[in-house]
Amino acid sequence: MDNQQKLQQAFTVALGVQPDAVTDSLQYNTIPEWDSTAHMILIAELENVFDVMLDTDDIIDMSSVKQAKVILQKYDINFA
Amino acid sequence: MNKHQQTAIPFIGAHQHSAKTALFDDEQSVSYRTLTEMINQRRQTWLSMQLPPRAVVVLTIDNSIAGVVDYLSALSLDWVVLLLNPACDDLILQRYCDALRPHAVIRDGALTLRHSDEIAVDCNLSILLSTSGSTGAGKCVALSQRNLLANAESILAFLPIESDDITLATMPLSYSYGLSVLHTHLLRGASIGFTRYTVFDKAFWEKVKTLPVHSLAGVPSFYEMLLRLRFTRMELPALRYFTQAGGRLASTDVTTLGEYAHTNHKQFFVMYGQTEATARIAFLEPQKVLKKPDSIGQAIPGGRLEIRMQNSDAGELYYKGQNVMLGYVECAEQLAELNPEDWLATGDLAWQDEEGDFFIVGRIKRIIKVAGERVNLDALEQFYSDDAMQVRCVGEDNKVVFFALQKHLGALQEKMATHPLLPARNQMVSGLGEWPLLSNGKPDYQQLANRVLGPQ
Repeated sequence: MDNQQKLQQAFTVALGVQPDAVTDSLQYNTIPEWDSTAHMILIAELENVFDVMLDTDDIIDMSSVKQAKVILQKYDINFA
Repeated sequence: MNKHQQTAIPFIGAHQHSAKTALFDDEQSVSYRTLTEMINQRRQTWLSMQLPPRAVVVLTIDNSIAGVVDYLSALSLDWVVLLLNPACDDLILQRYCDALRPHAVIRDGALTLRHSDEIAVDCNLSILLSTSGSTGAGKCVALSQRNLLANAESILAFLPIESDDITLATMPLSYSYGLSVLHTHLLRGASIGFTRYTVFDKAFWEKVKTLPVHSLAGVPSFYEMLLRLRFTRMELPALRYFTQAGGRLASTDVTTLGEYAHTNHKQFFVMYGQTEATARIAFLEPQKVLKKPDSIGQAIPGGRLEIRMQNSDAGELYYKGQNVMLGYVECAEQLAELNPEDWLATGDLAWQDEEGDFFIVGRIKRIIKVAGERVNLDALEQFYSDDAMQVRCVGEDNKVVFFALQKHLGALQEKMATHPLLPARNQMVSGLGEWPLLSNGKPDYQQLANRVLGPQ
């Protein structure tokens, strides 16, 4: 599984949405499934899948799928 | 002049002339003096609306300055107020209206009159709090103004709330713990604020740092989020103490927070309570947190706890104090007369150590917590069941499994999708060929639980 697939799966699992809903433009707090509790589950999922430990600011800044990729790149997780 | 003009407003009466900030939100702040004027105006408006003197009203209270004005106005008019979470499904609001026949529904400061018939109400009754959060139209806990004040005074006797303190209301005001944070801060003359931001917004932490915020209060899921956000690495010099209640926080998390508090010269209060006791029942001395992370400590000032043994290891925890509710109310007829019990059976199983500290080991009642909110499993069953379909459920914290007969499964899923009461991630459905029954013909919940939750 490549990083893009891992990311998509992490969002699908954490938010309980269909894979095709996970697009770059999907944003925190814009759908009922991505609320603060789901965000916490998402962070745990991303940290697990990519084996990273995110900083507070990065957790807070992770406000969209696109932003998640940008932030994960700081931790040497690259998306083609 | 109307007699109500003379009545002191609960909690803020002693500060009514103060220019200090009472409430604030993301846009504005309101002094105690202004808040008093706003309440006086609102009750003048409401007094002209033909309600009986002891009106029964449903107040959908959101976390806002207007919500507090509505609430304190209704209290100071000596009305009987059912507080509902704004997230409440319309169907639930309707069920409360059918059951309690309120004279009016208040939403966003707008009062909608429903009828003006007299309803007999107990002379001590003041507020009603739902026992099922936003997840069902279960029975209500009936509280008096004496209950509210007694509990607030008792909390002020052990929590270090100072008159210059600022806090943020991070829990709904329709929830007893959230309401107690409001009551105690107003009674002390301190400031409490509302924000649309959550802990996952940078703006929230900017507020915590710049206001600055002196205390935080939250349920276990709140602290799980804070730990996930590396709360223990944050520099928050103004934060003096933080409190946790509303269910059990994992002892490893309690220990982590206790160590953070210890290292950074803050106080961490682990507390225990129930809506049936207005809010607070017990707290653990902060200096004991690291030694006894599983303990709820001892009764709050003025209260008493005792265990009535059921076996050699644990027994049911009973509480006595001026904050014990008047009783439960399910329908309008029950408003007329309430007969409070001296001792409250908490429904929790506990034991006590040689130093007098209590430890909860389990529950007797069918009540669990989902994302920190109390969920009454019986109320959930009642909500989804109808004449054609029997629904039963079992659960543990953050997980509820609904059962219906296989042939009704589709109908149940449809109903749950139309009227969702719990987040999808916290619930499951399961179909059965037939109901497992006990020899007395009652549903065998143990067997249902064993199927889906593992042996209990």
